Amino acid sequence: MPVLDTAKERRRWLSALAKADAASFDERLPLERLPGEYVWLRRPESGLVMVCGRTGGTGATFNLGEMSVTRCALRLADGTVGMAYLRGRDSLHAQRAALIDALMQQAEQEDNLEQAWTTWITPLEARQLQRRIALAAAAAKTRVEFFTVVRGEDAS
Amino acid sequence: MNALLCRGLADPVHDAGRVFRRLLDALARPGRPASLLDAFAGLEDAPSGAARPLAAALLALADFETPVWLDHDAEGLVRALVNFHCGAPLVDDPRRARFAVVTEPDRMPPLAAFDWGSGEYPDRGATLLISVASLDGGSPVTLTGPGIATATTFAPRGLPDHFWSQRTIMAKDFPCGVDCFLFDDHRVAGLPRTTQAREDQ
Repeated sequence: MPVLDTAKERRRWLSALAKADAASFDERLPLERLPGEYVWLRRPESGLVMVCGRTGGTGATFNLGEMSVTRCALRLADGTVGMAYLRGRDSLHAQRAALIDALMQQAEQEDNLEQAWTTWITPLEARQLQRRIALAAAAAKTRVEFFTVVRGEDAS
Repeated sequence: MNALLCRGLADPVHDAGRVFRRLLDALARPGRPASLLDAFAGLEDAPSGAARPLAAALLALADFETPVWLDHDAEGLVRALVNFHCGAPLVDDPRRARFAVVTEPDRMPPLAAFDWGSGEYPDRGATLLISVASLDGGSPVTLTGPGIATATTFAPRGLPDHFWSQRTIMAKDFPCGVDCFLFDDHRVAGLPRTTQAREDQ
């Protein structure tokens, strides 16, 4: 099922693009290789979306709170449409994410996905992984171990 | 080219505001065609120029709270606009629509098929966006009512004959009813439910 796989891969690169921080874009990606020719289908616009949750993952949904989201869509000269939805209000980030999304789709059409992946997505994912490891290490320092004696009623 | 996504108004906020103002003016002066093309830029993906005024009006009016009904010929661009730019739900049943787009007036459903609102909430009646061949050059009708000093002649070309007789029937249910906008390739004319039309013999 190639269609399914495509959707899965695209989901992954869109996720990596949306979660990238501004520094990743500036430092590690060859931004001069982004296409200059495109038309906006939807200029970057920021808005609020309500984040809903379920207690314990089941039960009725409740409103957790609003978060700001920026989205945009653009079309390259060959008709490829790139889109971005991301947290925050950084319209430049949204523009770059949408451009790279379009490039990735082009690469996929040309069976060139691996190279594009190495160029655009791998640096972002590596940086995000580093950030997670650092965060996990910082959190691990505050870990508290609870030791309790076995309570009477449990011992049978 | 991806037919589901297309360009909307060049400056969505201000263009829509200007178009909205023109539409209000059109309702305030029923039967007087007013230019709409100079109120906005964009919509370059429109398959034909004729669809642009109607599409711009739809972009100015419809949003996620207003169900939209499209006739069969309004597929393509208008459908893409409603989905992508308005975010409005599309409905199959004309009775559930706040806005109805008619691009083939000869085959349009009877006015009674649309929501006329209720006695308590006549404002909930549907608004029809009808694309006609031209806003003049057709068989003339005489319009009277609010917004018209004495009487005015209106002669859109491309409306079915039974349109006017249906409006006469609808007037009996006033204040319930539907409001109409008529579009040709560059203009709009308003036809609110308060306007009475008499077909000239």
